[in-house]
Amino acid sequence: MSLASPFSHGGAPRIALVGNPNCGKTALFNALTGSRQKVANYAGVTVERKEGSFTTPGGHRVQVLDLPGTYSLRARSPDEEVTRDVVLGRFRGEAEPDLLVCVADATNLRLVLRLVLELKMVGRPLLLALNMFDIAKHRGIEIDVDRLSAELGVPVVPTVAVRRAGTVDLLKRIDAAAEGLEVVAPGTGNTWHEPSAEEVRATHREAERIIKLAVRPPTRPDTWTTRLDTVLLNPVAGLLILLTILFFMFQAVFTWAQPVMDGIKAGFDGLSAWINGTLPDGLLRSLITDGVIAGVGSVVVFLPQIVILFTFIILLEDFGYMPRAAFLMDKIMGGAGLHGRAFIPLLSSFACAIPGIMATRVIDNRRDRLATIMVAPLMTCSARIPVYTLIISAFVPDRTVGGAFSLQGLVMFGLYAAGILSALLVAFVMRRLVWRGTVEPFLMELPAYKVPDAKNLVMGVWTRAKAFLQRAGTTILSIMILIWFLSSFPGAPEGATDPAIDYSIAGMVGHWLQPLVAPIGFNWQMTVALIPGMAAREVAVAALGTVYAVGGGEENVSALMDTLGHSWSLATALSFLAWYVFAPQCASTLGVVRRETNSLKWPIIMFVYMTTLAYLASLATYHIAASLGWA
Amino acid sequence: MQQVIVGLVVVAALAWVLRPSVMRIVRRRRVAAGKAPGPCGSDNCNCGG
Ligand SMILES: Nc1nc2c(ncn2[C@@H]2O[C@H](COP(=O)(O)OP(=O)(O)OP(=O)(O)O)[C@@H](O)[C@H]2O)c(=O)[nH]1
Ligand SMILES: [Mg+2]
Repeated sequence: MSLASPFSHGGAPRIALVGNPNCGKTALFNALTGSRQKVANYAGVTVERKEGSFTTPGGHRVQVLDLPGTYSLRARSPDEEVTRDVVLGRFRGEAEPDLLVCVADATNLRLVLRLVLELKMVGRPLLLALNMFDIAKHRGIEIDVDRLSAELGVPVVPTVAVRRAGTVDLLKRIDAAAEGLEVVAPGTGNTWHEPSAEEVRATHREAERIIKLAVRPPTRPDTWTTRLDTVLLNPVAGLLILLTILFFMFQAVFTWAQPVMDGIKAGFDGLSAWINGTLPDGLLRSLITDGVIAGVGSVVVFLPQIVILFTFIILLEDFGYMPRAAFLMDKIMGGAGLHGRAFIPLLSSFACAIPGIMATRVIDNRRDRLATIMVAPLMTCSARIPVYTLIISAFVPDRTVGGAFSLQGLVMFGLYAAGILSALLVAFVMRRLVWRGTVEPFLMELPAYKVPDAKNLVMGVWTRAKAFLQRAGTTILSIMILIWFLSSFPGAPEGATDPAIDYSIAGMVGHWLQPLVAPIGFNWQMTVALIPGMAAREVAVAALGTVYAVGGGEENVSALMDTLGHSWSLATALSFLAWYVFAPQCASTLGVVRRETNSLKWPIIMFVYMTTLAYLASLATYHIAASLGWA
Repeated sequence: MQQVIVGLVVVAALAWVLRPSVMRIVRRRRVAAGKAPGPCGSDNCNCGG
């Protein structure tokens, strides 16, 4: 391979995006390839190697790798190891990338110059992209691009990853490089090694020298961030604001969604009424109304709540609030034995425990990381929303308390709080029993606040909503068809007096397993719902919809709430809620824990401890409620 | 007629639900036969590291 042209081998050249955390690598990756990887305003969003490809304006097919952010190739945490391995060509037998594009936050060059100096030692063709050039300009930071390039010995191009035309110069360079022109620093031999303390200091001095020569400090520094932070990071006011935001979020999830949910429900009810009118009574009609509409429909009605929750989460992430919240919670989390860096993974688990568990890769200490993984599923994920909402709507009166708060919203907030508190408690106990030792101190970069990007918000919410509907239309749909089949066959024998469903396979399995869950107040229909509910929590709601529809002949989606309201006691309903706060009802989560810990031991421990907690919590809830006369 | 349609739908649903497990078994067979690389970290893994 010729050293002058990085792209002279046969296949599509591979470009790796390397840089400090939160400098816009993923935004650049999305801009180049048109993908929709997650972009957010905090460090540690990307924790995996992501691959994409595109054709340059000059017609060259190029592969791009997006990587986790890092300050150095001396990797500390699992996500940084991914970056190091890809850059050094050690990743799963992959060859080194053909071109390293070091992405820099132009408003904060000090740290990235050290990384550039380190990357030069790797000896691969290298290019520096000065990203966020718009913000740098806006603040009046003057960067002498030619001087910077000359001092570093690396070509430099300004980019603005979030603007349409922001990558034109970069694309031109890539095209020129593909044509064999010397527009990137040429490859040399790899001389990278773990730097000694003396070498680290030398790199530091060199970076300082170059900064002095090429960068003039801002004339209009970002005063907004400092001003906002005096309030938002205040130990008292800040915590109050954080609590208020969370409280408002859960109230909104409940109250704002209601009108839209009613609309969707009415739509499904109309649909089944129409089918009842057109199709003759029979198997096919039962399959469509009891199996598909009553089952899948009862999950799809929760789409508005999912949308509202994700809107809040994405806005907070894009604004740059998440690391502040982590900072505020550091004391409390530290008291429970959780690392400060555990906050963002735990908060991501409000959406889904799977990305939450993946996000723990930013935690370098293995014990801290395991403790976070083990409690992440206790955070209330969005799949629990349908379960919680269904029970709350059926059993908690729709009243306002204290003038403005919806009582149902308050109960929802309480369930979220129960999840958070139990996560803290379990972490506390685990740190006492298993992993004794102090929690390592925590340094986290606080990014400048940014006005959330409307396109990013719409795209993010759309992606989540689509995934939710897709799951409803594939997995949940097929499981519901099977549940319908199992609860319809075999039919009742001649002269039977009990409801036909009691003679079906599902009925028999439910009745047979029911003694196991009788102490916690569950009936056989709930038992039937819990089994497919292992696939994903919201499937349990769909299964209840189908089982009650087949059993009771009520095909309406909205009928499920009424049915539960008069066929379950309050004690049973509360016990079911308690079960769902703790139960490990999600096979995919256990699978991810297995992959991330690389052992079967941890998912098994997780399953056992969570099931035990769930059973005990339900048992206590049921008996306390029963003794209050709510059975 | 109705029974045939319903039967087909149920079989299709069953196939969809079982698909991932079947794929996994097929894959494991292929790995065992040396025709495909195994998951990272396993004995059949093709990792460089
Ligand atoms: N104004 C402006 N904002 C940008 C630019 N590039 C990225 N951003 C924003 O900067 C934040 C971080 O972007 P990401 O692409 O997630 O950063 P990253 O380098 O992938 O971060 P990690 O994956 O955590 O290492 C997001 O809020 C982006 O919207 C840019 O050129 N200009
Ligand atoms: Mg990223």
